[in-house]
Amino acid sequence: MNYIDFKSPTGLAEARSMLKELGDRASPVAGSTLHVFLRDESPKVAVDILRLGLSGIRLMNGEYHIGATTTVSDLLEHRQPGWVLDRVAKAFVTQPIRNMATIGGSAVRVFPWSDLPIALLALNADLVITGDDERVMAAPKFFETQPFHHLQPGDLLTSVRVPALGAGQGFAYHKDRRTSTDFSRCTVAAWLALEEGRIADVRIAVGAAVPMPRRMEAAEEALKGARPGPAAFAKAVEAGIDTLRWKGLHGISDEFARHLASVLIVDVLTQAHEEAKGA
Amino acid sequence: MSKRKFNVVNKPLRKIDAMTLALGKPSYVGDFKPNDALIIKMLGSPHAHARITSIDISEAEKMPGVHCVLYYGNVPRIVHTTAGQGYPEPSPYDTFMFDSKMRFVGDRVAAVAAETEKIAEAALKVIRVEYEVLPPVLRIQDAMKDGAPIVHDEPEARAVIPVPYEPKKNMAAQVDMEIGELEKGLAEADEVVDFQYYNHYGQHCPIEPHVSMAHVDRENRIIITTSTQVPFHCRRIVAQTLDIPVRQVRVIKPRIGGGFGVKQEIVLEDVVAMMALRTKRPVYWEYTRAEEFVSSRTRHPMLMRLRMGAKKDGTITGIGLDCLSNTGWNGSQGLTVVCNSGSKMLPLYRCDNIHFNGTVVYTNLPAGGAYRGYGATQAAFAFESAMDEMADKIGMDPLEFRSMNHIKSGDTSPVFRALGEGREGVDQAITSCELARCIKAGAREIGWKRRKPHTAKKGRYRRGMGMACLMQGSAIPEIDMGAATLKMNEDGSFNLLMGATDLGTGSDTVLAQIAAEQLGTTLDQIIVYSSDTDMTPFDVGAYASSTTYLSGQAVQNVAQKVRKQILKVGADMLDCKASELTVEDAKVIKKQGGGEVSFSEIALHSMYSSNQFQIGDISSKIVHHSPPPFAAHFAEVEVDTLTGAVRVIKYVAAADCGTPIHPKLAEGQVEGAVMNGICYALTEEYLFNDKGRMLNPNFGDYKLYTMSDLPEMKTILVPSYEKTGPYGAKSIAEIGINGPLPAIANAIHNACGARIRTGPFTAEKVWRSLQAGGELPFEEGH
Ligand SMILES: Cc1cc2nc3c(=O)[nH]c(=O)nc-3n(C[C@H](O)[C@H](O)[C@H](O)COP(=O)(O)OP(=O)(O)OC[C@H]3O[C@@H](n4cnc5c(N)ncnc54)[C@H](O)[C@@H]3O)c2cc1C
Repeated sequence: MNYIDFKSPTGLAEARSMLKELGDRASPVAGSTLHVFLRDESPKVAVDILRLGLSGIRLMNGEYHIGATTTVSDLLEHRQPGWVLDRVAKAFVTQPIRNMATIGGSAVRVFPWSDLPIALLALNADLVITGDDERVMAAPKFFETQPFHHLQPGDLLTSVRVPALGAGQGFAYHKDRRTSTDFSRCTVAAWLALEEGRIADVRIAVGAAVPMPRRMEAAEEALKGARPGPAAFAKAVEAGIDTLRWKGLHGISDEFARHLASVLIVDVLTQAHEEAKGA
Repeated sequence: MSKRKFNVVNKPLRKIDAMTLALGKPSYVGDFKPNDALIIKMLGSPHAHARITSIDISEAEKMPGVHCVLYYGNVPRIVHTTAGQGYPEPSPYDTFMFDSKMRFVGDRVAAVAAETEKIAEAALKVIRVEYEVLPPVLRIQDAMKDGAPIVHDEPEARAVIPVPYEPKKNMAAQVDMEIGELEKGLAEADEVVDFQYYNHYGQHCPIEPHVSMAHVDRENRIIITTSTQVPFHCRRIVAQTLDIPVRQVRVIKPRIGGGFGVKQEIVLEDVVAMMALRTKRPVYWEYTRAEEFVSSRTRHPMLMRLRMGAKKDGTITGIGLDCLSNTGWNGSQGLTVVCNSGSKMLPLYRCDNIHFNGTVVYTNLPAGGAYRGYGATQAAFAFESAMDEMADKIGMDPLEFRSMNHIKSGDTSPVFRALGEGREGVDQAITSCELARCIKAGAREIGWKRRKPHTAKKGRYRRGMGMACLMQGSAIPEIDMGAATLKMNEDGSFNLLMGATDLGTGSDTVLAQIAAEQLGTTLDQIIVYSSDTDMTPFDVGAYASSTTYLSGQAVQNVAQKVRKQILKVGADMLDCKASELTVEDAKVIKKQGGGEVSFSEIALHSMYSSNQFQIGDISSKIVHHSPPPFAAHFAEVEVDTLTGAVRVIKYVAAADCGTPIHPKLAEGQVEGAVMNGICYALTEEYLFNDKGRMLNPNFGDYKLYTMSDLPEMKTILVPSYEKTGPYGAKSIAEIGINGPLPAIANAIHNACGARIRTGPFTAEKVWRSLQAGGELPFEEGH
């Protein structure tokens, strides 16, 4: 990135009007950690959005409202019943990056390996965009394309809403990597709700080994209403695995990426099931 | 082993440069970059093999801020080797400062020196080059096939010592040796194993990449400050390459941010010197990480065949090791690395029938060079894997099989004479070997008794244990030379001037300890300066596990001489015979009591009072032995049999390095080498596309372990006393890297039955091997 100026507004309205006025000559900047990956060399004004009062985590009606500039460290340190994003934040490396990176920055520009989008898909989060009016988008819609395409100049992602995990529900997340600071080779997340011993609802999301984080709906369908267990999980994976295109990264073959995903999905389903059972 | 009482040696004293480095005081080449230095950038070849058909540098030369553009058309064409080795070098002369032929992706096309990095980069972009693209050699086993493209077809390419060298066949070196008769040995065996193994590319990854700067002084001398392990070889090779006298070059080595062998090579200094000479401005060149991966040096990948015959009772009847080594685009260190593959592993176990062949080939890939372990790492993988495969076949515990066969104190091996460094070696008997105790201590620590065959294991996650025995050397006998100068100051302190090169290992501290011990003073009284070709005496540099053993003896010798001078002055002052005196606590004292003078009084006396002279001397050392350090390594791993992922649970390294002069630094060397070896075994990998371009030349994609990946690690130093070494010391810095590949491969096999013979041991390889019932069709890399 090629920043020619830095502005530091202190209110949402001020920031929005600044961004609106400058149009594509400006860019919102939160933790700024993603900028090493961005190749845009056109001169831009950086508009800092860390002082707009958009940070913080609040539980309201069974839903966590997470301000867009809440850092990944905050997600990691937060403890409250039904809070699960600490499990995801732990896989986000390294600590200096966690201290800076925000949930908003993670959600707006997505890489195949981005941690939070995969979890937000599995948790069916809502993403709140503040423009001239406020829009709420469900995760599958939000992550359908690169999310910044949903934003006009002056629009900001202001909050992310994640349902708290309730009784009879479980969530598990796994990022597969060679070393603790590695990019993911395959990331999987599962959320599952039990009712009377059967799977009432389930969501499976994958990333890294696919072009963009995605839900695996065919596998979810195969599980709905089924009795959970290794055989059911394996069958569901079989039904869903080839609905996505697997791409091996870091020297692994596409075939192995597919295999890895199928093992890891069963793993996270098993863990989510254990949690849902109250184990 | 004999335990001696020491005052300074064998103690974990504070490393003499610790505070300077911890406080971030200017220490490294980059810290001394002059504000007005021109920045050098190099245009790299986009092709693995090509000939430049036209090149136009005029636009770059005209660009404001550009001071000089170098390419093959405006520099001397002098064939040389980039290997920093003794003269005449055992590596072939096959490199030019610039050439019109490109031999790997990244090869030097043209260099620019400009006011800023940005300008230099912009200038590279306007250099117009046209290439005739040639078919490349990208696989080790294709290099010597009939009709293979020839990497070095230039008439100048030649070997400078009498060794086989056939560039027209892409053969950069060859060595062949037989003791007894291998075929007879194999025929006598009850069981024979015959497998291929492949060691992959790997890079040293020093935190400080290659970096050099130079300026021309008032007398038109070129002063090069550079991150090098070999300042004297650097001076010689730069002078040769620029066709100027050695006296016109001075090389200064400040602190180094890691080398591990990669800085035993003249990679930047020729261009830096030439740019300084042409521009008469200070110039500065620092490799990017990508350049460090591609254009500096790597571990030579080797395709190895290991044959071994043994009787049911565990007697080894024959060992055959064939190493086909990929030296990449230049033959740097190719011959000596492959010689070491034989000489540093074959003597480890007693055997009457041994055959060794090392053949080194050129390819259009990154060049091999010196890398910690230096060929022994490669051979240890094949050899120590095969030891386990054989133990399995004859139904013996691999620990027992090794214990009954390994070399012991007093033994010798014909391999020592048969294989030297590019020439015949030197006979030697093992004068210190505590390998048996290393095996015992390591086995106890890992819990070897718990080890069960893989067939007894069930479940998804399976644990296994593996081991490896290792040896290395300590310096190159009758080739390497080290020297030191010691002089006394008025306050009783000493300047220790050495050509020996501390590359972050702490050798300055170790050598100062040796001096202090010998002089009867304390470590803080030794002011170390290393190394500067104008100021310090010659030393070959830091390589071949030589510094403590070889340079240490030079220091010990000079300290002995100076001690004598001190005693003589003391005798003068105390009016007695020198033989009645000794040194202690920085004083000369009468052995029987009744008189003493401090070192300071002695220095003042000799400088100002009577019989005035500078107390001081110089001493050189060449060694006749290369006593091997020994080690036994043990790994416990857990394999996820569904994904093939391997996790090291615990790693134990028990090592015999003689007297550890500085036990903490010695342990640090073992731990660093082991960690280096573990990630080389599991995660480090060069990925190339089908045109020979490296795809992952960065730390995001080329994965090194960080401290958070560290498994439980235990280092056990098992002391011995090497009577030929300084205070009983041998080497320690290299040996540790040789263990992880075989120990982990053996542990994986013991966990789940998968035998991996190609590094690195990725999850996919283990998974595929399990799919294939433990055996994977052999697939070598480059
Ligand atoms: C060394 C390193 C390690 C990393 N490791 C991981 C990892 O383990 N897992 C992982 O998922 N990611 C990782 N990342 C990438 C990480 O996702 C992003 O760096 C980070 O989450 C982005 O957050 P940020 O606050 O820094 O965003 P910024 O860099 O400030 O912004 C990113 C983009 O989003 C826009 N933006 C930011 N906030 C908003 C908003 N509220 N509304 C509208 N637009 C907005 C910006 O304009 C910019 O285009 C890593 C990055 C680095 C450099």
